[in-house]
Amino acid sequence: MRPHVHRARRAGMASRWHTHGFKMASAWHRDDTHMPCNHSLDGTMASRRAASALTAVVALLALLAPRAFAQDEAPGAFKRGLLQHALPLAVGPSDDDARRRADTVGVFDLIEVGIALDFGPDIALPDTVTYDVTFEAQQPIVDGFPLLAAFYTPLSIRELGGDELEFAHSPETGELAVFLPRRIPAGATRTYVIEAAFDFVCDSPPGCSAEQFLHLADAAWYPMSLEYPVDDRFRARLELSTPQALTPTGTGVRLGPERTENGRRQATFVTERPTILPSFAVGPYTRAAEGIVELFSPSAGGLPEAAAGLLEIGRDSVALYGALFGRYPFTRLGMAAIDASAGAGIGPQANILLPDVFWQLPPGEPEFAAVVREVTSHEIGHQYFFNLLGVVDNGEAWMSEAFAEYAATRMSEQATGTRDHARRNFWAYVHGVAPGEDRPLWGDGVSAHPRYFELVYQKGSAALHALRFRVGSDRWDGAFRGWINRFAGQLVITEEFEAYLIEALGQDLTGFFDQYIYGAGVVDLRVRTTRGRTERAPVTVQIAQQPGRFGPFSGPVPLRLHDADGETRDVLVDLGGGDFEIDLQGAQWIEVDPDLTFFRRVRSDPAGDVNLDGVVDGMDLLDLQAANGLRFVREGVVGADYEPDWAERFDLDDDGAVDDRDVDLLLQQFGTGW
Amino acid sequence: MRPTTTHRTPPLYLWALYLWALCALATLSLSGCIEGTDGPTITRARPAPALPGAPLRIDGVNFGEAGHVAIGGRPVIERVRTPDHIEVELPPDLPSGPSWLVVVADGRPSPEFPIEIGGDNPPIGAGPRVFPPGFDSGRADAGRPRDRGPGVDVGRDMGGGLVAEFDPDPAGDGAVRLIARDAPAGRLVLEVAVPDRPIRGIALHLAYDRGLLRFTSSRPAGTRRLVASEIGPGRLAIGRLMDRGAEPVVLTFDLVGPGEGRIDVPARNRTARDVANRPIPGVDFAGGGVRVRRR
Ligand SMILES: [Zn+2]
Repeated sequence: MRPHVHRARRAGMASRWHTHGFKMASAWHRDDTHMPCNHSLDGTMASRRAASALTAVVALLALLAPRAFAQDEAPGAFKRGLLQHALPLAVGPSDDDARRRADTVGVFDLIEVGIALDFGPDIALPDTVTYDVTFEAQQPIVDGFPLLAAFYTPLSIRELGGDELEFAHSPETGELAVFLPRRIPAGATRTYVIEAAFDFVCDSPPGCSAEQFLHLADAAWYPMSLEYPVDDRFRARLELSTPQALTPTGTGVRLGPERTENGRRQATFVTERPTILPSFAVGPYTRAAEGIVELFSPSAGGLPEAAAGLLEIGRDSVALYGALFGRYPFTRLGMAAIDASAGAGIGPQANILLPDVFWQLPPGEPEFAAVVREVTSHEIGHQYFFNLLGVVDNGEAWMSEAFAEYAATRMSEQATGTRDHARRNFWAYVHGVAPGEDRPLWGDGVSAHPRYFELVYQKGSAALHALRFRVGSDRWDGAFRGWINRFAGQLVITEEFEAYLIEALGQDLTGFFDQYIYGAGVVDLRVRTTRGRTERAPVTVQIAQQPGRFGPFSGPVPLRLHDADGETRDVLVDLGGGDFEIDLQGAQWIEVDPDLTFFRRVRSDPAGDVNLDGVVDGMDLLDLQAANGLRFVREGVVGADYEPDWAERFDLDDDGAVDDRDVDLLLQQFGTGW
Repeated sequence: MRPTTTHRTPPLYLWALYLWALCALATLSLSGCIEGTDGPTITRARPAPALPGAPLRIDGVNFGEAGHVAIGGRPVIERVRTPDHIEVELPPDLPSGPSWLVVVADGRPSPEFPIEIGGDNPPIGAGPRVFPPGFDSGRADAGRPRDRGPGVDVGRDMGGGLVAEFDPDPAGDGAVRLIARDAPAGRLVLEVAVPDRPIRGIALHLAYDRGLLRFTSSRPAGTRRLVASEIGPGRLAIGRLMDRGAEPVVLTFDLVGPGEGRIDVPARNRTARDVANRPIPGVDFAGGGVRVRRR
C-alpha cells in the first residue's frame, strides 16, 4: 500500500471519529439541563462515544499486552514476551488534526495531571486516589466537560480553591461528566481536584502486577481526555507515599529529596516533558545510582550482584543513545524491578520496569546476560521512541517498537562487536513468518497478529538496519539523529519519517517503503554466475526471482566482490534489471547483499556454487565446510533463536541446516560451470 | 470488562535448568546410536567396462543413506542409494582407461575398487609441442585444447613409453607449491606442499595442457574434506581442509603425449584460508614447467 491509500484510510477514520466526537462535544455545550449527579448517561450519543473509547482502550490493552505464556511453551516465547511489553496507546482518532502535534486538540488541552497515592503496608493498590487535572480551554466551555474515568469512581470534584461541582459518572462506559456553574473562556486555565475510589484491578500483566512488587503502567488509571485519550500529552506529577519498608519510583524526575513524614516516605516525581503514560513501581528496593541512572534492585537488605551490570547497561545505553540519537531526553532514568509475572520489560518515561529475574541470573551465562542487555536497552530506547517521539495508533506501533529494538541492536553491536542481534532479528522475520502469515508491519493488519513480534519488532528493526546499510552507516546515523531532533516532543507517523529521510538523504526510498514497510513479502533470489575461461574475462551475473504472493520486487542489490587478499568492493545491480556483466578486476568470488539490505533469501544456481564464482570447486567446499553445522535456528540456554550467520546459499538441500548432505550435493556438482 | 489473565510465567532460570536437562538426555541417546558401524565396501560395479555418460550400478555393503561416489577422484551424480547398492550417472567426458571407484558413506570412504572406463574418447596430443607459459595471457587458463581441429588425426600414447620432468617455479616455504615425487613410467606424481603455518584449508585449480597430462587420482582418496577432480580437460580443481595431522595430497597424472608446457595455478582460483575461513593474504602459489618425453 502506498501512502495515498494510507491517507484515504485515515481520512475515512478521521471523519467517523471526529464527527462523532464533535457532535458529542456540541451536545455538551448546548445542553441546558444539568444532569443530576450519578445519573446514568446511557442512551446518549456521548455515552456511546465513551463506551466505544473505553472498549477500544481495553481492547488495545489486551492486544498490546504480551501474550501470556503457558508453562509448556518454548522459552524463546518467554524472551519474546519480555520484550513485548504493553504499548498502551492508540485509542480513537488518527486523523491528521488529532495526531498532529497533539496537545492542541479538542475542547481542552490537558496541561498537567497530578496523582497522589498513599500505599498501605502491603503490596497493593490504595483504595483511594486524589487527582488534580489542569487544562486550558481551547474554546469556550459552557456547561461542562468530559473526562475518561475508566478505573476510578469519583467521590467529589471541586475546582481548586473553589466549591464542589456536580458530576455524573458511568462506570459502564467510563465517562465522567463534570458540570460547570460558570463558563470557562477560551484560553483560560483551570484546575480540578478529584477525590476518587481507586477501582483498578491489578490483574493484567504486564501493565500491572503486584506480588513482591507493585507496578502500574497500564492506561486509563488517571483522568484522560475522553476525546483524545492518547494524543493529549500532559505533565504528570506523581506524589507517592509509602511505609518505610517500601520505596517508590515513578515517571519523571524526583522533585527534591525523598522526605519522611509521620514515619512514611514521601516522594514526588514530575515529568520535564509531557507524557502520555505515567507509571510507578513500589517495592522493598535497594536504591543505587550512577549518574542519572537510578537502579531499584529487588532486595531491601543489600545490593544484588547483578546490580552493577544493570547500572552499566543503563549508563552505556544513555551514552550510546546520546551519541546516536541526541541527548538523553530526560534528567533521570529509573530502572526498577517488577514481578517476573509481568513477563515483560516496560519502557515508560524516565522509569523503565524490568522483571526481577534480571537480578537473579545464574552467573557466567552469556545468553542470559544478552537477554538482559537486549531487553533493558530496548526499554531505554523507548525513552526516545514512544516517550520523546510519540506514536499515534496501532498501525504505527512499529514507530515505537521497531525503533526501540533498533536502539537495542545498536547497543548490542557496541557491546559484542558484532551485528548478531540485528541479523537474528532479520532471520527471525524471514524464517519465522510464513508467506501466508506475512503482512505489512505498518497498518492495522498487524495489530492482533500472531507474528506481531516478528513483524513489528524484528522485521521493523531489521528494516531500519537495511536502510542504514543502503545509505551508508554514517549518513544514516546523521539523518536518523536529525529526524529525532526535528520531531522531538511530537507525535510522528511513518509517512513523515519516510518524507524526512528522502529529503535529508536526497535519496529516493519510496521503493523501499512501498515494498517493505507498507508492503510485505520476502523475495527468493536465484543467482547464477557465468564466467569466461580466461583469467580476466568478465563474469555475467543473472538474478532471477521467484514470484511470490506479494509479486515481484525491485531495487538495488549490492554485490560484494571478494579479492584474494580479503579486500572487498561493492557494486550495485538492479533487481529485475536482467543480466549483469561484472568486471571482477581480480576478485575471486561474489556475495549477494551481505549486509541484509532487503528481505530476501539468496540461493546459488547451481546450488554448489556457493561463492558465485561460476564454478563448483574447492573454494566452494571450503566455504561450505566452514558453515557446516549452521542451522537457521539454534537452541540455546534461553531458547530457540535465529542464527545470525545463516545464509541460504550454504543450505543446498534447503532443509534448514548446513550439514554433510549439503557437502555431498556440492561434491556431486563438483566441476559444474567449468 | 477487563481481560483477566491467570497465567504465570516461571522464572527464566527454571527454564534454563529444564533445557539443560533435555540437552543432556539428547546427547546420551544420540551418542549411543552411532557406535559400531562398519565402513562401506564395494563388491561389484556394472557394466564393466563402465561407459562415460551412462549409468553405473555399484553393489556392496554399508552404503548408508548419504554420501558420495567418486571415480578417479571425481565425484559423480548419484541417482539411487540404498544400503547395498548405488546407481550413479557417469560424466560423458570421463577419460577411458583404468580408474577406481570410491563410495563415501556417512563420511567414511570405501577401499578403492578398480574399474575400467570404456568408450572411444578422441585421442589427443601427438608430437612435441611447446605451449607458452603464463596464465596472465589467459591462455593457460583456457582449459580447452587449442591444438586440435576437425580432420586432425592425432595418435594417442597412454603406455609406459613416456616420462616426465617437472621443474618447479622458485618458491619459498611460505608458498603452496608442487613437488615432484618418484613416479612409474607413464606417470607424473606431484605433492601439493602447504606452508607450515595455521591454515584451515586451501583451494586451487591447476591448469595444464590436456595433450600432456591427464589427472587420474589423488592420495588420500577424496572425502568430504578433500576433493581433487579434473573438472575439464587440462583443469584440476582441488579443495582441502587441513585437518590436524593430515598427510599431504599427492596427485597422479597419466602422461598423454610428449611436449613441454606449464602447470599453472590461476590467481582467480586459489586461496588459503585461516581458521575463520578468511583469505590469508600473502600466501603464494607456485606451479612449474613440465616436459614429457619418450623414454
Ligand atoms: Zn518495546
